[in-house]
Amino acid sequence: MRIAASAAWSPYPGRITDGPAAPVDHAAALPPAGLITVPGFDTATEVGPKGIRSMDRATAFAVSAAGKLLDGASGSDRVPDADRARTGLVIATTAGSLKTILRFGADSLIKPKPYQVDPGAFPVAVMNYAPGQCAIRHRVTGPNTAIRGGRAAMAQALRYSRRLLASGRVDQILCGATEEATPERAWLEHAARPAGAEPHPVGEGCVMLRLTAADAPGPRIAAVATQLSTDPATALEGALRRAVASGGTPELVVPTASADGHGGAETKAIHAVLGRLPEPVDLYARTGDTSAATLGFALLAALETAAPGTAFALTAIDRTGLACCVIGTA
Amino acid sequence: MSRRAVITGAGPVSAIGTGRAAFTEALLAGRSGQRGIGAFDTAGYRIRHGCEVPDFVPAQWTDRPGELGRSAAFAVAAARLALADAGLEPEALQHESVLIAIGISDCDAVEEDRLAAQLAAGGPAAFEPTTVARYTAACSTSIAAELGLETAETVDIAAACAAGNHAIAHGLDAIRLGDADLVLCGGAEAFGRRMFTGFHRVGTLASEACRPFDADRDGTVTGEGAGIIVLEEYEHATARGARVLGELLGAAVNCDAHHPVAPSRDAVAECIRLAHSDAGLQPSAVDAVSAHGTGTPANDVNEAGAVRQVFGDAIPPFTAAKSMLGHAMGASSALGAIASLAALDAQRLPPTVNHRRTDPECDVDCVPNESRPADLRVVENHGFGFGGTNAVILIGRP
Repeated sequence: MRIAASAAWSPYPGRITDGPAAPVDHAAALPPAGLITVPGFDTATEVGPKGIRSMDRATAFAVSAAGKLLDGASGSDRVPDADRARTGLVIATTAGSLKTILRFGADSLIKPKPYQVDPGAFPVAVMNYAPGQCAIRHRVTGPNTAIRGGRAAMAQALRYSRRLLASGRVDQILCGATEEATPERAWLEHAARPAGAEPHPVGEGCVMLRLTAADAPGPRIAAVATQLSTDPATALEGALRRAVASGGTPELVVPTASADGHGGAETKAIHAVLGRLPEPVDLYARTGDTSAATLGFALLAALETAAPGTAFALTAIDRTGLACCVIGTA
Repeated sequence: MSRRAVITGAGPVSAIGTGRAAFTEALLAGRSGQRGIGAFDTAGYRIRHGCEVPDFVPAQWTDRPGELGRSAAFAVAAARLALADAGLEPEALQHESVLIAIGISDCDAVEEDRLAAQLAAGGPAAFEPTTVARYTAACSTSIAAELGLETAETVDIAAACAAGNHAIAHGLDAIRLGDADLVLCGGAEAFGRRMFTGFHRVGTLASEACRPFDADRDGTVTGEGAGIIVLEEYEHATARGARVLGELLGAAVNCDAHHPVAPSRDAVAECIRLAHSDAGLQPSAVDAVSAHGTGTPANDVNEAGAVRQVFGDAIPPFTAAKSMLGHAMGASSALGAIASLAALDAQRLPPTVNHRRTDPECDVDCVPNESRPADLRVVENHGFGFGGTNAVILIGRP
């Protein structure tokens, strides 16, 4: 599966792995680790002025990134309108817009009548709002869904996309992950963080890929494997072994498991399977904790740092105990 | 010819019955699962009924009931029921190529209501860790953990009210491509205050009852439950002498790309055509439609119109299980798939209950109120959802 193009919204105008780190917002109402936001993002500018009153930032990031991939492609990569029926949209998430969902629910408890909620927020609160908006705003009528799975969701979305391509149902897929930095998400992650795990700021952003089955040169995804275990190192070892068996041995590994206190287990598994240590890439210091988008940013980091043709692996361990490994080539 | 996918087990957890036998009996008898809402205090609401699963005891299905949200517990129960129905022990699957694909509309609705109450009372700093863990845990991963299937591929497909069919369609692709020999697929959803409140606010809840395709229909009734089927590669099933309930002949998914909540007739029709093409069938081969049939004015006339675009005037009978089950969101089309299997097995069309007079704008035979015998070879099961997401599957008699 080829990565024909990528587009992203992150705290950085250019590469996510270089330059001074983005500022952290430590407002009093936030958990101690704070927030890292995408600076200067304006939904009206990036998405257009219509129908955005209730739109969450994660959806706006995705709509904008999808637009860059569809409208920005040129030459042989240009996507004609007719092919948008053969274009899929697959977006990884943890819970959709937690802020919209929970404020809607809280309004129902606070208002004089329990149904005095904002009707405009109702469709936004459904978890597949982001892929639906991408479809509506770019007239993409192919298969369309969100994949929810926390830190494993992007790996699951890639595997889902590969199967849609292999089945011949689509010619290309816009596959990505998107999250927004809100107090609700920050406190949710704060509450969920295992005792002893190093706190990170909660971050936001979107990574969107245009995936095709075409056997042209360029970066690609070679294998995705997941494995479940109550022991995180065992789970990741299993996922790594099976990913390597079908995708080949990587020359570098971008880790992401430290946010949940699994950094040690991750290093152990990588060393056990590959006889090497992961790259010293600290994504969390750069983008903050972007939950379902973490693996997407790990992929961007691999594409930024690896020379063309280099095989890379991305690893993650979700809090449910589901470990995943994505192997690709830069 | 590509690998074929047959259905060898079904596990419904629903407002009208849990387990295939009880579900089928209630479905064909036209029993309604509607009752007063027990999930939350309905004081202040104008409408106070729903279709909850009565007397569901998570500890009957899992040793760790405190770790699972209600939707995950439904999913685990449905998976266990489906495997037992297929004559399979979970241990026997540990070295097989297994996919677990579960359609959902939302994260766990009961835990979400708890988080919303915590937010309302104390701000987001009041979120409790156990609530958060149950809220965000995927149903598919919960099933894998519960059944000890550590190497099974898992995915939760969040495609609103079409999600169950999406998951089944994905299972079909996994089997055809040789990625899996056995798939547990379907959907799960718990009854929650937020979805009920949203529908209440936008005026799409039925004042009295869910009456799909009725001239006096005025909305849907929210529900809950889970439906999971065992989808097996044909040779895999026959090699172990499995009883086959039906064959998954084809599937298709697409998107309106038109409006977040208003459905598109052309896109639904196109999805039906794509499913027929995927199955290699002409419309005339379809003997019945297991309709999305929500009972909302917009859906039913749109769905009937879309079917008319594809079938012309030779429209097969429609049956709308939501008239009995309520709208179980992410689980609804998976329960529709199990209703389709029940119809094929019994060679009877399940009824659309609460029916008084058919809407001339829909003009379909919705099998009003009483089930009836029929020669059924192929049933078409519909699922459409917010975000304009559509999914259609075709199930054939074995």
